Amino acid sequence: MARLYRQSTTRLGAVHFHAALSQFPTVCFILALGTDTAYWRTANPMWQNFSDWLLLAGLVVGAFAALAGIVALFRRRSADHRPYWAHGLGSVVVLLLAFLNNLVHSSDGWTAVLPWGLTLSALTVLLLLVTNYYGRLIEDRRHVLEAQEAESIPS
Amino acid sequence: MNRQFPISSAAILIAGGLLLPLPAVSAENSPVFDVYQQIGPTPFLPEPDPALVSSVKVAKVVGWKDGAMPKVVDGLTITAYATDLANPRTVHTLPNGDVLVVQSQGPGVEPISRPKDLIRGWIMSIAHGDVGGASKKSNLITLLRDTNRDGKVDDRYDLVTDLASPFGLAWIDDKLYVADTDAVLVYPYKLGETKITASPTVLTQLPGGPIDHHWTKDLALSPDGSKLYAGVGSNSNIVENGLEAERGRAAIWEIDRATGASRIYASGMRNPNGLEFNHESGKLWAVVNERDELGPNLVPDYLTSVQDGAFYGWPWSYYGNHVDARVQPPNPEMVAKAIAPDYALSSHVAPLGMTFTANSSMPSTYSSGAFVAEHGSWNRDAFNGYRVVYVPFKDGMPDGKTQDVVTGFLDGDSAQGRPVGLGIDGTGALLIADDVGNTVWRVANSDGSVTPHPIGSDQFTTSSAASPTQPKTPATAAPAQKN
Repeated sequence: MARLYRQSTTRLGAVHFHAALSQFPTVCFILALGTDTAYWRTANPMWQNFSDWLLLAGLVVGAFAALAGIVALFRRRSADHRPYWAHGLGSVVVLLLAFLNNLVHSSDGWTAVLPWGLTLSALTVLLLLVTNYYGRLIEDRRHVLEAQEAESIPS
Repeated sequence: MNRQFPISSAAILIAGGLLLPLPAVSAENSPVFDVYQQIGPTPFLPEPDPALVSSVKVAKVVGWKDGAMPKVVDGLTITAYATDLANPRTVHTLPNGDVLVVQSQGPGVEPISRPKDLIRGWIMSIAHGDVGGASKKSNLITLLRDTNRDGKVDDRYDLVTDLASPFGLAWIDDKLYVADTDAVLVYPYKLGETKITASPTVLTQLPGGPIDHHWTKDLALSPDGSKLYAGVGSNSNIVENGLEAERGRAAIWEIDRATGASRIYASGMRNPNGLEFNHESGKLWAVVNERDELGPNLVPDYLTSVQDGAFYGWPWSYYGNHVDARVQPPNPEMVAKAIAPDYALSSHVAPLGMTFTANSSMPSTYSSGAFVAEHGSWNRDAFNGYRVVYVPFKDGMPDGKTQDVVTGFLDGDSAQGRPVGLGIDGTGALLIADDVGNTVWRVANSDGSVTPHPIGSDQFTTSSAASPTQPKTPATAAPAQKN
């Protein structure tokens, strides 16, 4: 029983670290789509600067979230690996798109956002919806497994 | 250029890691481009090529070691006129032959508005040779006196200290005009004096901080001595700080010397420097740094006569009606107004100094034209500039390609020095302010010829009659010894 307790915290550490960090890229990239849209409508460089910082923050924290996610991957217990692949590879593509978008946004003026910056921001968010779906799926299955385990532990 | 802002090294590492590994990609793919296609009145302008990662190649400043010097062409001799200076940017000769060296550093007030600014600041710090280590206190004017006109400085005095990023100078009627980054100051100054203790008065405020992206304000005195012309560079590469930040900038101001009243004389010039009147035509000329990040071969920097009321395109267009799509909203009205400059110097050479050769004692091949100092490129995969060139003139207009005169500022991929301001000294030799080499170089005619008497940088002479029309105190053959 002591052994089970120790294993449990290790696994939860990486999983929870991943869950906490992965909110940052989600929020940052969605907001960047918003600020890009605002720039598109107003041409006010303030919105462009917001996008730059949001994309950088999302990318940097997203990279740490990915590391935590890789560690958590080794602790996976479900027999069905498909959602892990979908979430993991999808997230890597999200980060690659965000990296590309950081480069596009680092130009000066209107062409740093239109058309490719805004397009990349939209693609990033669309793909995020998919990867987040699989992330939720993994979470749900983990909760089910944990509930089953909790029931099977002799009290 | 601006390093006073606090940057954590972690932020630089993150930002640097983001962009820096990639420039090599574009370098390998670039076909050889003949930069001479972009020198002359009608440069070849390729389509914009804004790479995903801007071409960046920065020469790390190493300084002049073991007596190393720039190279000059046959018929010329180069010597170090003054060393151990603190970022010399411009040189100015007074009618008695004394040379004033303006040494300055940027104000360093440009805020970090975007992640890119961190990387830019870091790149510029490499290119300006101030990567750590205490440097000598800059922002002063030093007087160099060659008493016997042998081309060697005999006495040296710090004339004025604690200025605010000064650059341009003018002298007339016992007044020394100093263009700080935010104002034109007037000091009472008689020729021969070696120290100015009086407080200056402000003739005219100029656009300085906040931001102050292009901070150098060059000065020229009109031939009749009544007006001053000040170059005011833009506050951004291509209005990324908003149009409001560009009020009064990217322009040449005309300032009335008596009242300080000012107006915009010409506009749409991204970063004008090297202001000087042509002795033949009597027109104002300047060299201008054009915009970056449209590819390694756009936009060519230029040398041009400055027409009263003219608009030269920045930010909406370049070379007339070549629209820059980065500027929104577009402004077709201004694009229609934009005129093309007279003479392209090729892309990213960064011309910062210019002087006409009419008052010089240089060989006859340089008798009628202009020397231009090219500080050198960073936004290219192959270096361009880092030299002083000669632009031949005919009938008051450039005629023919540039000729390299002083080279060897680069040593492989390192910069030993970078030329900024130019001037003709009291003996008719060319002086070059080298801001990272902390030296003023003197390039003289190898046959040892000197002008009959010193001619001040502000003195206007015509090529036919070599008698100065101003100042009112005529220059004498012997240097003034009034103090």
